[in-house]
Amino acid sequence: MDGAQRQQIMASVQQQLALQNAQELLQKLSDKCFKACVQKPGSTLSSSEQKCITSCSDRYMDAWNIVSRTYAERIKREQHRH
Amino acid sequence: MSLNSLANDPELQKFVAAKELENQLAAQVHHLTNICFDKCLESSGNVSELSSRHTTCLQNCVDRFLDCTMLITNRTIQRMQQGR
Repeated sequence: MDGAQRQQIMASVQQQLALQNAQELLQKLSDKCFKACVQKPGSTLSSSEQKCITSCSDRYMDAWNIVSRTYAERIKREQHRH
Repeated sequence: MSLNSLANDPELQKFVAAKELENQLAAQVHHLTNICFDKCLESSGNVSELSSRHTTCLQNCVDRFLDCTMLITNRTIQRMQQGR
């Protein structure tokens, strides 16, 4: 296998993992915010439901960022301990 | 390029191992976000922004959950060593 082929494979794997991560996030967002914002499903999403869902998904993304950072810092701390 | 050459390529193996670890960490972040969102934000309804109280709660939640996991792990090992 030459370098170019290796690079190609690594890029493809990286892409698939990024896609998987995005799908996971979207799934979690939908589950959480549907549950929180849509109590009785109507024939359309009302504007208050839409606002709730938008707000909810923004908050969830904020939370994801904070958790991601906190987790990375914790791992670093644990590594320095040992 | 055969599958064999893929499997035996050391640089690729190292890359895949690193990505698997990365993937596990990413999965853990999803899991933690799920738990801590429920704990810290669920009762907050429709806030337009995360307050510093929310942020602190999320940070504490992550650290306390990991403390909890470590405690349980150590306790479980202890019990196994005691033959229970």
